[in-house]
Amino acid sequence: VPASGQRVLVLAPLGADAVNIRHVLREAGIEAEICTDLPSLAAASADNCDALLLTEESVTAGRQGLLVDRIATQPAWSDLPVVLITSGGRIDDASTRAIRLLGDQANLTLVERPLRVITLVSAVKSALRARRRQYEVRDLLADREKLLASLEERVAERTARLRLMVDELEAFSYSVSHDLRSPLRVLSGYAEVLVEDYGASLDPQAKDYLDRIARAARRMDRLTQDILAYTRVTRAELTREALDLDLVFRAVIEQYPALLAARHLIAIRSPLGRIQGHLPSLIQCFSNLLENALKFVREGEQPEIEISAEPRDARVRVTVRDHGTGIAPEQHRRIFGIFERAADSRIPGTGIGLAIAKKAVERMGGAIGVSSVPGLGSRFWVELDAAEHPAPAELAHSAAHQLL
Amino acid sequence: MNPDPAVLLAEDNEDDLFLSSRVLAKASLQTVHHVADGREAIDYLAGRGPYADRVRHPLPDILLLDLKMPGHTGHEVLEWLRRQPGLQTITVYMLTSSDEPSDRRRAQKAGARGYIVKPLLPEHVSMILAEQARVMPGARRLPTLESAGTPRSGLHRTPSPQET
Repeated sequence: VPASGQRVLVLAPLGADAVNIRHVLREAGIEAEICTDLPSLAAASADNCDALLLTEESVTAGRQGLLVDRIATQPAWSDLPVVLITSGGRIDDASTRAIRLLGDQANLTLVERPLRVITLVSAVKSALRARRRQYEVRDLLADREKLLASLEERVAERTARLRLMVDELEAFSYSVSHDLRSPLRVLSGYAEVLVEDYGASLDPQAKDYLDRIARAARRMDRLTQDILAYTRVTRAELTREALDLDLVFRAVIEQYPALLAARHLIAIRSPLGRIQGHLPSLIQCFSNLLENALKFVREGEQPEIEISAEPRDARVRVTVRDHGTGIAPEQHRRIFGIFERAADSRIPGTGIGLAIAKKAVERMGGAIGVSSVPGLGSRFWVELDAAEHPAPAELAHSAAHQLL
Repeated sequence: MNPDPAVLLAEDNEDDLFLSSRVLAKASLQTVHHVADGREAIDYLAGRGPYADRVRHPLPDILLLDLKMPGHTGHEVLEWLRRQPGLQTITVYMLTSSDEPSDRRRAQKAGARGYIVKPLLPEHVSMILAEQARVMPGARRLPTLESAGTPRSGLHRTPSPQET
C-alpha cells in the first residue's frame, strides 16, 4: 500500500504502456496502480487517489463523462492533479476537443510523446507534491471546522448559563416585588391604623414613635421599589415606539397616587408632541422628575409645576419646571448618580430617582440635564428623538393602549 | 338599584385584606364581599357551590384582584373571566404588590380596567368610583372627586341624587 499522498492511478489500455509506466515510476519510488478502462479507474479513484496518469487513447475512447463527473464531484479543497500523455504524431480534432474539455475541468498537465523518463517522473512528482499541499489545506480546514464547532458549543453553553442567570435574577426581582414588599406595607399600614384609631388616647411621644415606624417602613418600601426600578431600566429590553407625550404624562399621573392627588398643581402645555420612546421607561423617568418637583418646595409654599416641550432639530426637549428650592450648581452633575442626594436629609428620598431617570433616558438614546438657580427653582430637561405625526386611527389606538 | 357599586375583593393575605377593606369602608363602600384565593374567586363569580345564592353573594360591579394568590393567580382569574360571556360587565382592577411591567402588560392584555400597586389609597378608590360613574349611570361619586380622565365614548355621566 503506497504512503498517503502517493497513490497514482494509471489508465493505459495498452498493456505495454502500463508495464513501462509502472516500471519507470517504481524506479523513482512511486507506486502506480493500473486500470484498463474508465469505469474501473472511476471506481478505484473514488476512495483514495492522489494523481491520475492517463494516456490520450484512453480519454478519447469514449465514456469521458465518467472522468469529468469524478473531477466535478470533488470537495472544495481538492483539485486532483491529472497528467495526460499525448499520443504524439498525428493531430486529431476529436482528441483535441476531448483534451480541451478535460483541461477546462481538471488540474491538467500534458506530457508530449516521445516521452523522456525524466519528464514523466517530474510531472508525476509535481502532481503528487501539489496533492500534498491540498491535503494540508484540507487538514487546516478540518481544524478550523472543529475549532468553530467547539467555539459555537462554548458560546451556546455560556449563553445558556447567562440565560439561566438572567431568569434567576428575574425570578428573584419578581419575588422581591411581590413578597419582600408585603411585610413593609403591613408594617406602615398598621402603624397608620394605630395613629388613626387610637391617636386620641396616645401621648404625643407614642404617636411620634408610631410615625417613625411608619416612615421607616415606607422608606424601606420605596427603596426596594426604586432599586427594582433601577435594575429594570438597566437590564430591560427596550423597544421604542412613537408615543404621544400628553398621553405619556397622563399615564404617569394616573399611575402614581401622589401625582394624581397633586394634579391640579401640574400645568401641562399641550400639545407636547410625539417622541420615540419606551412607555415603562418614560413613566419611570417622568414620575421621578414630577415627584421631585412636588417634594422640593420652599417652606410654606405650594408646589407649582409646568411641563412644556419644544422641537430641537430631530428631537423634542421636554422640560419639567418647578419653583422650588433649586439645586446648587456644583451638585448638578452629582445628583444623577445612584444614591446621591443634594437635598437635606429631612426631605425623604432614596437617592435613586434621578439615577433611574438618567438610565432610562440614556437607554432610549436620549439625554437629560438640569439648570437651576438655588432658591428660584429647577428646570429638568429630557431630550428624545421626535416621532412623525400619526394617522388619527393610530392615535386613538395608542390612547386606548396607554390608559392603564 | 343600589347606587353603591358592589365590590368583590380577592385577597389571600389577611393583613392586606384588613387594610384594603378599611380604605374601602372609609369611602363608605358598604357592599364589599371577599374571597381568599383564585379558586374561590372563580366559584363566586360563577355562582358555584356556596356562592349559588345571588342574594347573599351578588355579582359584583367591581372586582379588585390580587395577583399572587393560591389556587389560581389573579391573571388566571381575569383570563377566565374574559371567557365568560355573562360576566363582561364587571370592571376589574388589579391590586398587587408587583410593579413589574410584565404583570402590568398581562393584566392590560386581559382587559383589566386599571392596575393598582398596593397599598390601596383613598385616591385609588376615588378614581375607581369616578370610572364606575361613567360606566354605571346612577352610581355614587365621592363629592370631592375630580374625574380621573376624559370620557372615551359618547357615554355621559348622569349625576346621581347623592352628588353635590
